[in-house]
Amino acid sequence: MAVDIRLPRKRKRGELTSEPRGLVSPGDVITSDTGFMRGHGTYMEDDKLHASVAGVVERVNKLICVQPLKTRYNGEVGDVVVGRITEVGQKRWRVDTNSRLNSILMLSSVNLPGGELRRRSAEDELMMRQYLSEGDLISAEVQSVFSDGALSLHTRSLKYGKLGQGILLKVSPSLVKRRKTHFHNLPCGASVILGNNGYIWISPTVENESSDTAGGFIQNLEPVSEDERGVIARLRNCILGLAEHRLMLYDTSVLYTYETSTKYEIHELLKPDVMEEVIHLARLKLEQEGT
Amino acid sequence: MTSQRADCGNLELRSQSCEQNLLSRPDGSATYCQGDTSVIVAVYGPAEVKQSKEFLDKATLEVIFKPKVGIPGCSEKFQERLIRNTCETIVLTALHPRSSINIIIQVMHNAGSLLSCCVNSTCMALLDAGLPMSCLVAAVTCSLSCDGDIILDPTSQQEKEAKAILTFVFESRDNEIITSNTHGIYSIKQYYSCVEACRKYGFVSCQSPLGTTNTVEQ
Amino acid sequence: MAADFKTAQPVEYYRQFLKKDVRPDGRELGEIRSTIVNIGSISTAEGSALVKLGNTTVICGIKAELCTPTNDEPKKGFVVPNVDLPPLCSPRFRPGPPSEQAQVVSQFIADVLKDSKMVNHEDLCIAEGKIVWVLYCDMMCLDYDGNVIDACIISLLAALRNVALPSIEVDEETAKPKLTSSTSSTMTVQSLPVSTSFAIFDNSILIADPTNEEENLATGVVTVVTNECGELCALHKPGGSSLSESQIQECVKRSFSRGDEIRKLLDETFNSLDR
Repeated sequence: MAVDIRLPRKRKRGELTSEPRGLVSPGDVITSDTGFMRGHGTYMEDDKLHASVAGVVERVNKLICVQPLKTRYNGEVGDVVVGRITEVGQKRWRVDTNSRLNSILMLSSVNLPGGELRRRSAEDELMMRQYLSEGDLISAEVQSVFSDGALSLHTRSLKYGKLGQGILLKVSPSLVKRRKTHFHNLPCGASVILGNNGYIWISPTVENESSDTAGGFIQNLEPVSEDERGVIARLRNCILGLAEHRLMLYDTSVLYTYETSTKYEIHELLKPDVMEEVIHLARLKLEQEGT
Repeated sequence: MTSQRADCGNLELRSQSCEQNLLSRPDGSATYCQGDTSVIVAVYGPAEVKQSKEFLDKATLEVIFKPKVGIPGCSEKFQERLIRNTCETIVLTALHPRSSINIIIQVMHNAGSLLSCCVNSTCMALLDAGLPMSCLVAAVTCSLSCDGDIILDPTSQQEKEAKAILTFVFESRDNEIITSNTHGIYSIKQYYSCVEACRKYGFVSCQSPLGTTNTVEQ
Repeated sequence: MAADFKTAQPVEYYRQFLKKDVRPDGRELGEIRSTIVNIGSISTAEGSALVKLGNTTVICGIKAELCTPTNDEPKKGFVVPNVDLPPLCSPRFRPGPPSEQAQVVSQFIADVLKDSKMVNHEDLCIAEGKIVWVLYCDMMCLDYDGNVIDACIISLLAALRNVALPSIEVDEETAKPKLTSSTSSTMTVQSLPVSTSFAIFDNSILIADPTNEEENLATGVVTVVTNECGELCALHKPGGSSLSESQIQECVKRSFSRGDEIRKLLDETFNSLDR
């Protein structure tokens, strides 16, 4: 069997189409105008606004904040996250969502099997482990933020719940673009959940999402065909390539990258030079579309 | 006679390189190389803190300095205290009360100018972790030979032969001295000339962090 | 009323005093507390000194023992300083292994001892490659009211000058050391470094010789060690607010004058002892 061996080489910076504007490092003066409100990543000294983290300056009307280049996930109400159960506790589950503190999923925030609406009893507490146990993956939405920064999650809608077969990817949270929906059924034949916390779930598309499927706790464990596996593997390589080249992740960018990658074999996408070319073409296509 | 360096002159720094985000578990990590001296730093934080060590109004900074060989002793504690005080000046600890920020420094190879290499890599690791800081810092070591020549960024051979070794840490906003640590005897005039020589290079070092961090495409 | 204000807002309380260029204990900004030196108080030690810098009290005792030198430097003896900050001196130190503060001060004093070449290690040699003196200098703080580094260095200086080493010879037949005569020789201390510590308050004001309360409120500290030839042995500034050139110049000038004061004081003390 032939094996590919490559010598180490100096990491190329990659061609930048234009120098990103607004890059600051701690201590840099953003503005001397006192009319602005200061947001995260800034501090005020001597009537001047300075940056306190290294990142990109963002301005929304009168609010100036600096988004750091790399950070743990800071949750906001309404975000969609993908997480893994780390602990089953009293009336709650602890979920790892790539944030500073583990998030909490309260027993009262999940749908009971059968879709019943009733007060949770002591029996439900004892049956918690049967619903979700350690190591399970779930998709959920952020309900609220506790005072110490921990997130409270809920799976109150039928689109959230335990995840079945698929691939989990971990990328930096700052690469996932905020959109109206994070659940995408891609035309190539797979579904993608782009969690705001940087955890991405790729799974085969289920044909008919019937609404009385026991509230999202039953996993679909039917065997997945080889073509679907191929699609999922290709998507995984594309998303990892996008993440490595620091492009924002959303349904259009993922789809274009998938389309430009079809001329290569799936395993060839793992080579850095091949991936660079694919990403380059995808980037050109995105710019053409004007997104 | 002082030993000469092959790769650069006395008033130049050795080739520097830095890499961030190389470890997957810590919140921030960086490695910094000055010539052959290389140090790797990991930063965890803001995280939980023991009640006995917590401050109500600011974060608790802890530095652990691990030498390449041997058990950490008094001189390691001294370095930890120096680096901790330097970091407490620049990190905005008031934004994370009742939390802890842990900085772990591991010496990979010591070929002279170890303290300045540690401070530089700590700054890059704090930057990588996204902790709020008021400014960046740059550290430069210089040594005074017996003839009175100033050698910037000395190798360990040059440090052994030197009359005095001085390390300065400058902050990026006004280029003032935050930390100064010296070994050996020297006159006040020599002190000022060393400060000036180091300050010129400290300023250059502060500009480079922006070039080494990855850029994000919007 | 003043006590309530001090507890509630210690920084503001302090600022009120600084506005009038004075400190709560009545000193000016550059004034150093009165220094008292007492030598030879521990009769069982080879050398000892007690130093009181205001309320800060440090006692240094030096014990001399014999040991074999290292192979790389067969002619050099050892001087091992150690600073102990016991729970006796302040409520912030708990019983147990040496606190970080004690280790940092010990290391600083060891560095100053080495850099300033206070003691010529070759003077401590008895028989090259076989027997040398090792001086264990233990500095114990009895009362911690700030600026323990200065007090330790003064006590170390005084105790070293006070050390009387018995003369030892190696008996050729038994190869064991023995006392030749009951007279002892004093150590020659080659250089006399003196340290002066300053605290930086509010990022701009320099205060010499801070007390414990001032150290807690300070935004930075600087320690300058000078010797009698007008040279600097150490300029130690561990983090803290940045200092401008003129401020450093001020510190160095003050430490030179302080160094002369202390050296004069020590000379007087030793002269009075001989009398």
